[in-house]
Parts: sequence; structure tokens; C-alpha cells
Amino acid sequence: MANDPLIEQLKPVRRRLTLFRLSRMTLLGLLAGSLAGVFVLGVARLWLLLYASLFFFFFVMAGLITGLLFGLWNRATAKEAAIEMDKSVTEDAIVTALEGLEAYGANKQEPAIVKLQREDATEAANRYVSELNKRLPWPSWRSARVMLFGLCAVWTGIAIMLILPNPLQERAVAQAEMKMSVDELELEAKLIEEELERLSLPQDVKEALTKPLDKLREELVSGGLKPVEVLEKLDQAMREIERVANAAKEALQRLNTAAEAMNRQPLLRPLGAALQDRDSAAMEQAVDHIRSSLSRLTPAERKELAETLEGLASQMQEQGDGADKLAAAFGEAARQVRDNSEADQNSGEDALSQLRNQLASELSQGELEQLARSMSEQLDRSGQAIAEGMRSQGLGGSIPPSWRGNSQDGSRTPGGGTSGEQPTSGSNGTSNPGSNGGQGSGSRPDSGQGAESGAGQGNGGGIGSAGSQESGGGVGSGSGQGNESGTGSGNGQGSGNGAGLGAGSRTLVTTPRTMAGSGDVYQDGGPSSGGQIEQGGQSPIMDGVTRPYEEVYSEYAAEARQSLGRSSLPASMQDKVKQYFDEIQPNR
Amino acid sequence: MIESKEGLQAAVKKIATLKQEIAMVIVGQETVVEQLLWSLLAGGHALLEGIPGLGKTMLVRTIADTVSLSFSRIQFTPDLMPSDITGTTLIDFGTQGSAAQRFQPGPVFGNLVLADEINRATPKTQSALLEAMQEGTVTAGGTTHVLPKPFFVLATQNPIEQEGTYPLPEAQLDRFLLKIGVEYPTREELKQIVMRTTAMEAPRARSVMTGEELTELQQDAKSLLVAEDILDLAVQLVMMTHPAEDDAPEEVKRYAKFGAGPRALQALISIGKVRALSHGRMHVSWQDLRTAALPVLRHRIVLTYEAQALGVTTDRLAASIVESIEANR
Repeated sequence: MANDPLIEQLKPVRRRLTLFRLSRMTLLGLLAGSLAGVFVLGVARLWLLLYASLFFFFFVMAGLITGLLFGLWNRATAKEAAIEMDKSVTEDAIVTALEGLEAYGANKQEPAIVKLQREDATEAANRYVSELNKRLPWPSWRSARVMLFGLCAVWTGIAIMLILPNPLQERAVAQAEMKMSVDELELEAKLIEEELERLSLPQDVKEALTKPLDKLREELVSGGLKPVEVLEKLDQAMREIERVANAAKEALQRLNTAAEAMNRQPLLRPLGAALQDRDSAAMEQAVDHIRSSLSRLTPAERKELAETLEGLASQMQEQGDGADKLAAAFGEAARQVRDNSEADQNSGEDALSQLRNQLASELSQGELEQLARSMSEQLDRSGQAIAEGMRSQGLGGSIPPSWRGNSQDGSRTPGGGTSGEQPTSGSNGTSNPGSNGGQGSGSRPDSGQGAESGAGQGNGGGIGSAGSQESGGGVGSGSGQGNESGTGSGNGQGSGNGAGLGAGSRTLVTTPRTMAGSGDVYQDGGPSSGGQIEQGGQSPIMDGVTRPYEEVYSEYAAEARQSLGRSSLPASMQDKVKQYFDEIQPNR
Repeated sequence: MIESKEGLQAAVKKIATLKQEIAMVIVGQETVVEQLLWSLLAGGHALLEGIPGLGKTMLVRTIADTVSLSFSRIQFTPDLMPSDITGTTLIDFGTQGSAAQRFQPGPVFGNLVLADEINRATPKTQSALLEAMQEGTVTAGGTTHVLPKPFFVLATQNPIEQEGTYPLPEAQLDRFLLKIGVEYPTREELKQIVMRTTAMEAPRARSVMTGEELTELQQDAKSLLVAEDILDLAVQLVMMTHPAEDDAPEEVKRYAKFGAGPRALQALISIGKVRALSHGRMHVSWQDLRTAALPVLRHRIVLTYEAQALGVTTDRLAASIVESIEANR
């Protein structure tokens, strides 16, 4: 049957009909997809709809492909081709012959009339095919004009919608950014949590850090929070985490204090150095060295050692509740050294072991603080991104006060802060406060004597500039944070030109929680190569971490550049972002 | 039965010759002649409707002459009795005083019977003829007499002068294969009629076909092919005459009271085959059906009173059905 001449004659007609059908279905699919696309673009102008362009593209392509597939799926059959041919001149001969062919197939016993009729039909089909272009011409555009006009109208509408900017598009993008920020926050939180697991910290300390984080994550994952609520949750978590960071910092300061005291006692000096270097292995070696030296000490030396340890215990007790354990460890070690120098040597070793463990625990506070700061900064970045998103959506008024700070209103700028590490050398150095507060950074000598006094006054807000010069000697570097600015001068031993480069008049942004910070300037920091560390003054107590505006600006500017690199960001939005960052650049 | 192309061509030629011969006598009326021949070749009876004087009787007589068939004419009147048609049993008295019953065949015993103005006879008489049409036999005096073959009844009725007439009931109308409308001749035809009938010698058709040949042609027509699709269309044609049918045109739903029955379908296919044969085809086409639709369906659709009041005809309904099918084809 397949090789019958009649079937062969039907094939070109089938192909052409299939092509017609394919064209028609594809056009219909495109029209339907375009209509759906127009609907999506229209909806995107009434409601916030993310990825409206993507949806539009998807619908158009889906319509086109569906039409194409439908056309391919519904290819013309032999019978349809026969019916089409019969509409012309063959007067149902092809259909009748095809039916006879299907009924009898290759059976030789078919009635003579069936065969004769098929021969006639084949001849008619042959004539038809020889005039195929005339008998079955391509449909004129008139036959498809309704569809073509419809398509033109729809695509004109699409072009207009694509050309005219969508006022809701920026808000939609901002909403997407906000969602992305929340996602990044969760990812970062997971990473920090994993890092925390790595540290050998007491469980209660870890929990102090992870608890607010877990709570925040649970609330974020549960969903349904409005951006304002997310900001509030973020703020709460940041406060708790910064509390942990501050506690860790205090612990480190205690450790520094102890180390300085140890440096004055020969036997304890290696331990002090190890503590200053944050070197756990060296610390253990130093403790072992002390333990092994105990038996060789004279009573006078033992007494001196015990007194030093007692002094450290007293000093730690004065530090407050957080240093209780360390004070107890020092006291126990001193008692064992003094009272049972020889008979209870083992006990002395036990006390030293406890002291070592306690010191190791205190040392890990450094990493804990770093981790907590990092986490806090990440939360802060996320919060700022969400707040920025809310501003773009016209929801600036709903942003909680703690997140409203920016370089203009100064609400999140510090009124004071730590001055950072100040020169520990140089004599009679003075520093004057900057006109607008800000950050002072300076290099400090690593040797020499001298002190610098300075006071930082921060009054926040605004962008200012001031130069500061400090002359000092020595080599060293340090950075300080705070609201002090000004010129400092100092003289002292040593030489060098690393005098403090204070760039004052900078607005500190983001991390401090209050504007009212003021206080004495810290003199702290230490030399990286063994200079004596001194600490003086009292940094203003800030509820949060102070960060220089340049740093914050550079981070945000970098993120903005990445956002601009995305092709999905509209050109109008890109211009606004560029303009915004031009206006808030530090040197403007 | 068609078994070769030559056989087909011979059949076509015979029909064409028949038409030509009839056209020698009958001026114009090509459609009527053609439809009458369809009826003849399909072995069915036809009802001709037209005003008097349009040559109906002459047409039937001419056909009888061309096919060498015996011709009878019955003028139907109100006082016509059934036995006047079918025949009656007589008592023959012999010369020696013996008596014997003898059936005297009526005019219905002919190959071609013209029942003129059939609607003027009483229903009883009409039914006597219709029984003969359906069964092909006549029963008289307890004896069944077979009518000669081929047997055709060509009845006529006058659409005007309805007073004193007995319209044929639907069941009896259904027995006519076709209802053929005889139209008034055109100007040219009228002139030719006058020229032919007022001359010295009136034209007379000669016999070009025997009764056996006619029967052969009937068999040839029956052997033609009908595709399933065409059969479906025929069924659709009939079904769409029913007002309750979903696919029926709105006009049919509104104006038709009853539609056509299975005999209409049989008639459509039979006529379709005959038409295909006359056109030299071995298969029935939609064109055959659509051409046959009006004479087949027009007397099988019963109109509502509303339609009758509005002057809606069955032809109009049948045409709307055909158009509807063509539009959706």
C-alpha cells in the first residue's frame, strides 16, 4: 500500500499541507504568547512583578514553540491530503480510492471497479500534483490578515511598553535586591557558624554568639517578615553579637594587661610574650618552662614569682566579673608556688595547668571577637542593603531609626570612638581634636618614651577634611578608630617619618549606635616588634563598631559596581546609582 | 455491473443517447428530464409537480417510447376506484353457458405508468396505486398478480386548484424516490415548442434502449463505489432535516416539523450513484449528493404551520442544509 502510486502522489500534498499548518500554528502560537506577554508587561505596571521581562520573553517563546510543536504534531495525513485534493477537481475520487486501498490493500481479489476507480483517481492525483502550485497555492496574506494585523498590533503595544520606562521597575529591582541580601545574610551566617565550630571555645561562649544568629535565621527562614521587621531582627541580633564581641575584646585587654605585668618578671616574661603574640604553642611551652623551673628556684625567687602571680590575680579581680576565672587561676597558681614550693610541686603544676587552660581560653577570645565583628559587619551590610531597598521603594519613613543613618544625616555617625592605636613613643605628644571628628590613624614608633594625650570630640555628621600630621619616631603602624582628628605632634626618641596620619573630619558611619559618644582617647596598641605597650585614656563607650566612612563607602561602591554590571539593571537605575555614589563620595 | 472502462463508457453513452432522444421531443426541461432519468435508472418512482400544460404527459410518454417500455396513463379523478387502477375480476360466460372468473389487469400493469393528477383521487384509490408501487404486485380476488418489470410510476400533481383534492399523506409521499418540480418554459423554449408542435409532423422519439438494457444500467449504477466520508455526508444530510438535531440549521429547527427517514438516505445514495454513472465516474461524490438533495428531500420534510404561513418552502430548508454542510466541510 505504501508504494502505491496514489500514495506517492499524496506525499507532496501532505508536505505542503503540513507546512501550511505549521506556519498557521506557529503564527497563532506567537500571537497567543505575545498577548500573554503584553498582559505580563501590563501587570508589571500595576503591581510589583519581578522579572517581568523574563516572564514576557518566556511567554512569547512558549507560545512560539507550542505553536511550532502543535503544527508538527498535527501533520497532514494521507486522508486529509486526499480530502484537500478532492475539494478541487477530483470530486472525491481520491478519498474513495484511498478507502478502497485501505480496505483491500495489496489483495489481488479486490473488485475490478475498485481497481479501475483507483487508476482513475491516480491519474487525477497526478494531474493535481503537476499543477500543485496552482491547485494548492500558498495562502495569500489576505487570508491571514486578521492574524497578521493582530500580531502587528500586539507587537506595537509591546514595543511601546518596552520603550516607556516602567515606574514600578525600580521598586521591583529593589525588592529583588532586598531578597538577595536576606539570602546572602543567611549564607554568611551559616559560614560564620561553621567557623565558630572550629574554635575551641567554651560552649556557653559559642552559644552566646550562635544563639542570636540561630534565632535570626529561624525568623528569616520562617518567612513572612516585612522588611521593617527584618531590620528590627537584624538590629537585635547585631546588638547581641556586638555585646559578645565587646566582651571578647575586654577579655583580650585583660590578657594584655596580664602580659605586660608578666613581662616584668623574668620567669613569666616568655609567657607574657607568648600572650602578646597570641601564640598558643609558645604559651604552652612557657608554662612548661615555668613548671620545670620551679624546682630550681630559690625561696626568694619563688616568693617573687608568687607575689607577681598574686598581683596579677588582684589586678584581674579589679577588672570585674569577666575576669574572675583568670583571677582565680592566677591566685591558685600563686598559692601553690608560695606555700608548697617543693612538697606540693604536683599541685603547683596542676595550678599552672589550670592557668594555662584559662589563658588559652582567653586567647581564643581574639578570634571570637574577630568573628563576631565580621558577623556584625555582615549583618550591618545586609541591613543597609534592605534599608536602601526600602528607600528605593519609597518606604524610607518606615525604616527603624537605627538604620536611617547615612553620610548626610549623621544619625549613625559616631560622636566619639576609640582613637585606635596611638603612638606609644614620643614625648609630650599632643593631639588636637579634629574639627568634625572622625578617624585618626597614625603610625607610631615602636620604641621610645612618651605619651600622647588627646581628646576626641565627635559631633558626627557631615563630610569634612582635615589633615593631620604627627611627627614621631620609630617604625610602626597602627590604625585607630575613633572620632578624634587633628594634628598631633610629638617628639621622642627615635626617628622616622611615620608620624600619625590623622585624617580627620570624616564621618563615621554605620556601626555605632549612638551619636553621643565622647570620652578619652585610648592610647593603646602595641608594637609589632616588641615595643612597650601602653594604654591610656578611656575610649568612649560605643554601642557598636565604628568604621571609617571611606571603608564603608568603598564597600558599598564596589557592590554597586557589581550591581551595575548586571545586565538586568535598567539604564535609568544605573544612572541613579552612579549619581548617588558620586554625591556621597568621601572627597566631595 | 461495471468491470472495465469500456463498460463504463458504454453505459455513459447509453444514458447520453437516451437524453438526446428525449430532447428531440421535449424542449428544455433538462433538469426535469435528467431527474426523471435518475429515477428511472435508480428503479424508483417520481412525483412531478407542475401546472397543467407543461408537457408532463408528453415527457413520460416520450421516455416510454425511448426505452421501449409499455406505457399506461391513468387520469385520477375523485370517482376513480381502486379497481379502475389495479384491474378487476370478471366472469366470462362461455358459449355453452359455462362461467369462469378472469382477472382483467388495470392500467397499472405497464412498465411506465403515468398517474396524472394523483391528488384528485380519493385516498383509498391513491393507496391502491401506492401499494402497487411499493410491493410491485397487485392482489385481486385473492390472487396476487406481479407487475411487469421494470415498473415505474410517474405521478403528477397540480400545485394550484387545491379545491376538491386529496393531498398525499407523508407516508405515501415518502414512497416516491423524487419529487420533481416542472417549471414554466423560457421564452426561447416556448418558441421552440410552438415551432415543433405546429409543424406538419410532430417529432416522435424512437426507441434507443430496451427494458433489459435499462435493467443493466440499473445494475451498473448499483455497483459504483461510495466512500465512507460520502456516506457520512449523506447521513448528515438526512439527519439535519430533523429539527431536534443539534447540527440542524436554525431554519430547520424553526420551520421543520418532521424530517426525512431512511428512505431518503437510500434515495440519496441511489440517485448519487446514477448521477455518477451518467457523468462517467465510478464513485459517488459530494456533488452528486448535493444535486440530488433537493428532489430527494423536498417532499420528505414536513413544515410547521408557521413555515406554511410564512411561505417557507422545503426547498429552502433543504438548500440551507446543503449550504451548512458545505460550509463546514
